[in-house]
Amino acid sequence: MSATIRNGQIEVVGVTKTYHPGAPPAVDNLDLRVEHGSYCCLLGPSGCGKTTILRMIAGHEAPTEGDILIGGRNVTNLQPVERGTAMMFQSYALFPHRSVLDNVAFALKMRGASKTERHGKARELLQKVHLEAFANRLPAQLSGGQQQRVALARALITNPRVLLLDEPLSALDEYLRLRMRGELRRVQRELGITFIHVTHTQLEAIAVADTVVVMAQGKIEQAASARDIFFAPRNAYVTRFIGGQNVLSGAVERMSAGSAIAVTGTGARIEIPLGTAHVAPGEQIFGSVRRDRIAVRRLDPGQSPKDQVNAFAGEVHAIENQGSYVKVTIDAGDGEEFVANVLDEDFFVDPIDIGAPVLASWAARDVRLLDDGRTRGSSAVAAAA
Amino acid sequence: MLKTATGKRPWTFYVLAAFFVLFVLFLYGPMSVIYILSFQGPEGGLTFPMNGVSTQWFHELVENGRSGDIAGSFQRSILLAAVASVLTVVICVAAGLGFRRRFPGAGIVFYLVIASLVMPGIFVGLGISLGFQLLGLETDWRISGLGAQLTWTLPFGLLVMFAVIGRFNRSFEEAARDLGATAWQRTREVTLPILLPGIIGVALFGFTLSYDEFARTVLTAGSENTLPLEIWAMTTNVTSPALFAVGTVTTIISFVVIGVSLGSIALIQRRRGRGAGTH
Repeated sequence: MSATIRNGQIEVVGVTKTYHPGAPPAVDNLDLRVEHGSYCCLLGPSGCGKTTILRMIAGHEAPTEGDILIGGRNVTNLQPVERGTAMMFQSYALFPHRSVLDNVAFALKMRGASKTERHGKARELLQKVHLEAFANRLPAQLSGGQQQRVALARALITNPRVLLLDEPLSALDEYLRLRMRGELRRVQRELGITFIHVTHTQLEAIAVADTVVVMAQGKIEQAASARDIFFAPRNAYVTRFIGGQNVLSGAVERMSAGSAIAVTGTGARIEIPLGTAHVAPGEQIFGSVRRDRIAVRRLDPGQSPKDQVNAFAGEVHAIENQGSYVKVTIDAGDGEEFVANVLDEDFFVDPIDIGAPVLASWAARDVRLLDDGRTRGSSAVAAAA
Repeated sequence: MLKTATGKRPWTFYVLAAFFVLFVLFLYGPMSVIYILSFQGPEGGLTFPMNGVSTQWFHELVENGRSGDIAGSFQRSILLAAVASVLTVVICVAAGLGFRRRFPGAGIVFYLVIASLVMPGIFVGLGISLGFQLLGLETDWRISGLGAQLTWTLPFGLLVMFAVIGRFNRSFEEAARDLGATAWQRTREVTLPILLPGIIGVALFGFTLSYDEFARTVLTAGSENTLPLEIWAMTTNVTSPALFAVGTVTTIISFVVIGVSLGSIALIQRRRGRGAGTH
């Protein structure tokens, strides 16, 4: 790879991928831009098209329509090796019949490099991932975490400007997964190249990525910084999928000082700050509220909260201790899961049991208006950090 | 162990155990009789009792022509089996890799290949020998015999290849492609080495199916016999335990071939550690 094409900016322009004529497309007229040197996570449930995008960027799959640009150059019709990308496969795909050293040196061997040259470079990379002692082992003799590092070294030996990672942590146990995701982030920073990482784990995406792209059914639901995805989800789908916030919904009753007062299906009143948005009375609007900003109070028999705004009464449906906080799921009677993350020190002062009637309340400033039922945001193009 | 809570086995255990013993006797009894009788003493005959023990009938096989052309037919059979095995491997590996792409007409081609497994072998042989006659050609074990045997080994080899390739993870090839390997480099450096244990299995199938093939070969071998044909001829005109000695020797050879194949597969798997490469 020459130094002039080190730019790893990726543009996906109007890409559609259809596997079978007539079937719904795996990727549907999708636009995405990832800046050079950023860490981007494609996040979504299985079958949402995230792996298909990755494979099209890598060149292992051809778009039915649209173009893929890397560093400003159209690579749609180029071979994987001509794109300056490298891919790390989900099961790592380490060649079982070759030693660790030969696995890492494989790309150089294919390019006709001499044995001393390719082994020298491969040892250098193995040193980087702290596996030089395992150079002569076979992949099957390594642990999962070690195999992952070999796969990383093997992908990096060609000095790619883009590294594509297909669920790189899914084959590891929980402990290693947490360690390796930090390691991936560190390597990305060190190399300064673009990483695109496909995952279905929300917290993994938010932990490592600059930009998180949430997908559903071949389309982008939201592309934003990890912080925004978590704290400012755009619509109910992203809110529910990421899981850091609850979805509220109701019909607008009246306006009050830049906020809409809406009545939910169960008769509770909620206040949703509108910002610059306009809503009409009677309109069905959606909002999100952070789970860690919900106060949960035991409700005494006979007490009715009907007159209180930003609160509702319900029954505790489930309680999960998460260590530093307790996840309290409350059944409000409308089918929507409502969760309050209560700090452990608050919860254990007066622990609530499953089935207890409670009052959940929050402040209006923690509520955000969602796009659902309203004109959609203009663009889903990611502006990477 | 199958035991009830009281420690007693149910009566069905004994019934099934007895049935299994009968099955094993039925399976291996007749063959064992041949192996034992092949060590019949010099004065002994074709049946029990054993009249002493000797290896004289094995010597007789090699030494004089009284027991037919055992050495010659054995050489022909080994050569034929080796050639059939090589051709089976080359054609089946190529076909197996080719069938991964759903080319137009793949279904029809597959059924055509499998059809020759279903057809009675004797008619396949008859058809080939008639075809040769029509064309005015002599049947010969090197040509018509080999062709007839391939109608038997190729479909088998292809089915084995399908099983082998079915467990092959395509991401190995994609990884190689990603790392810049050309189509030929992918096949040589990645696909074939990973499939090697399965390919040895195909070779073994090709060899053993050819080595003891009778029905398709009997009408297509021409004037010179392969070993199974020679043995068949001997059953009608050889009246000494030399016949049994042939059975013992051929069995040993079959076991050696199978042992070498399985041994090399096991060695490859062990070198790759815990059975990696197929998942």
